Amino acid sequence: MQAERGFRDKLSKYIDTSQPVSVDVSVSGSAVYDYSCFGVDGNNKLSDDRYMIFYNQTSSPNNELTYSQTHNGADFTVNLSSLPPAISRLVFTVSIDGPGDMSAISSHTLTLSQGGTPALTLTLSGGDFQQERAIISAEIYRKDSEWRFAAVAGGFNGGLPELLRHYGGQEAVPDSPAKPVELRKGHKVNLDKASGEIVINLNWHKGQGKRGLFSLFGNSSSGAIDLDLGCLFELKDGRKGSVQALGKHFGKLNDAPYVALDGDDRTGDVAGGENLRVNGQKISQIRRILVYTFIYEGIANWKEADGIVTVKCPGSRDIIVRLDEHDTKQGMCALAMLENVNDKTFSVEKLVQFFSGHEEMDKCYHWGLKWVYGRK
Amino acid sequence: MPINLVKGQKIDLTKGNPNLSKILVGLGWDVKKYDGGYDFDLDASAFLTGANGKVASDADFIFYHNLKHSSGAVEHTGDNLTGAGEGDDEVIRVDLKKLPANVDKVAFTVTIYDADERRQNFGQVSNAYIRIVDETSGRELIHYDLGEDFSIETAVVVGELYRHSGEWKFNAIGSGFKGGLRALCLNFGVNV
Repeated sequence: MQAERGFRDKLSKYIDTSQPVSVDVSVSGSAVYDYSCFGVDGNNKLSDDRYMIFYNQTSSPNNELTYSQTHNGADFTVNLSSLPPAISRLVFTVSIDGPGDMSAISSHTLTLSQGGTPALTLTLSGGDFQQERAIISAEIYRKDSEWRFAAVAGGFNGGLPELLRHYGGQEAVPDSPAKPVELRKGHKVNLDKASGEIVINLNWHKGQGKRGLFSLFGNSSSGAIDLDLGCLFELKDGRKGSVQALGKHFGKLNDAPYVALDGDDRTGDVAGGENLRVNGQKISQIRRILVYTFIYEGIANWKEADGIVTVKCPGSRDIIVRLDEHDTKQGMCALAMLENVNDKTFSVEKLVQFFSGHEEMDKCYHWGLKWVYGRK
Repeated sequence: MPINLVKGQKIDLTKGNPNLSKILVGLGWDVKKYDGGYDFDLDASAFLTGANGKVASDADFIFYHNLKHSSGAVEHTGDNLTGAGEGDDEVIRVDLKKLPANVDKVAFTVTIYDADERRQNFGQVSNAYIRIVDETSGRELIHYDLGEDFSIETAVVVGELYRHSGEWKFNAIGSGFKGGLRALCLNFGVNV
């Protein structure tokens, strides 16, 4: 059954309210979306924080409500019959963290299902919204001792803080650092207005025996893993090139290409891994940046390396790209693409695509550089 | 204390209260708790029909473009464009004794103006009610909360006054229609 905005009905017509029900919510769009389910009391107030279920509190006291992340949203399991009587309404919300509003989404779906069978689906698009930054997708509430469902699809321009105020609450975790956003493959998000320095960090498990005898002989089959971080850049004026330790192309931050590599960490002593820095003041000069890593020496043991890329930008939540595919012997991996968005910020897209070397990767992304072999 | 009705309930109005003639029919609702979207414009109307539920002429349809019936028995006191504020959002004045003999029912409806264009429906309206007040004494006689019974409808027949054995009674109808005011007009025999 397809529900539209304003739809209200008794839940028992669609599901068995004595059994657990799953509420799956997702948004496709280019912002960062958070999903929550709030249990509020008969006065529509958030009087019990333990019934605010979201990524930082994934279950209620008796597991009446649980949260789990899905690849493009969240799945809530709701056990209505065991909810305390004081909880009279469950509010399912989507809020945007960082820039953007709901009018820019391509779609939002909330599906209520039981035993794997969808019972009610609410589908919305950007056209259903304006500048809302937090919305109530749907509510499940008690009325005359029956559970009912309402497709609300309304929200607040002031985002989550305003939504919480509406329910007499306040932001639950104002002081805790923002949760990093982990991208899935092909997923693209925009950084907040990127005016400062954007740091792209690659970290990995260095493995054993880095300083041992074997590594001196280049026998790293049981030894250390050395990943090199680099990028291809393309500027607005058409200039292209690479920034990487190989060939000693360390780049420049205050002059073209406005991308620079910190010193190569071949020893693995630097716990922080390797960093590429992008000058956020020069976004308007930069068309795109392809961040990659390659194994300069040794075998391609991606699994052991367990690499993780963190894109840090002042004012934005950290963006994480995990090197979570390992099934390859190829020594080169395209990690992420940063692309200029209206000269204001970058979008970051997770790639994690493996190649035999620079040239093959260059071709795939149509960079058009000429490649020769070098040594560092 | 008024008598609170539930959907489908019928109640005597003039029986036992023979002096009752001038009444106020107040309709109220709450809309728009959220940002974004259009304002809601809800309109109350009245259809003066025969026993068959149809109007004798289009002039028996009292709404924002035809505020007063020729008999003077029914008068719409004006359109509230936003539904803002406490209390009744729209009031229709009825003088039972002035109602022409061929009028057996007066149905009160609420519709959402431009609902399709604005993608609005009664699922987004809350706390809707109708109440009947004795205009002379100011006493509230009847109160009927429409509750949660509406969803994607864009028109609601809230209730009706009807003649029964020479007395006026009230019926808490509370039934929704899709298709807005146009659907209601067709239902009551108004040419649209």
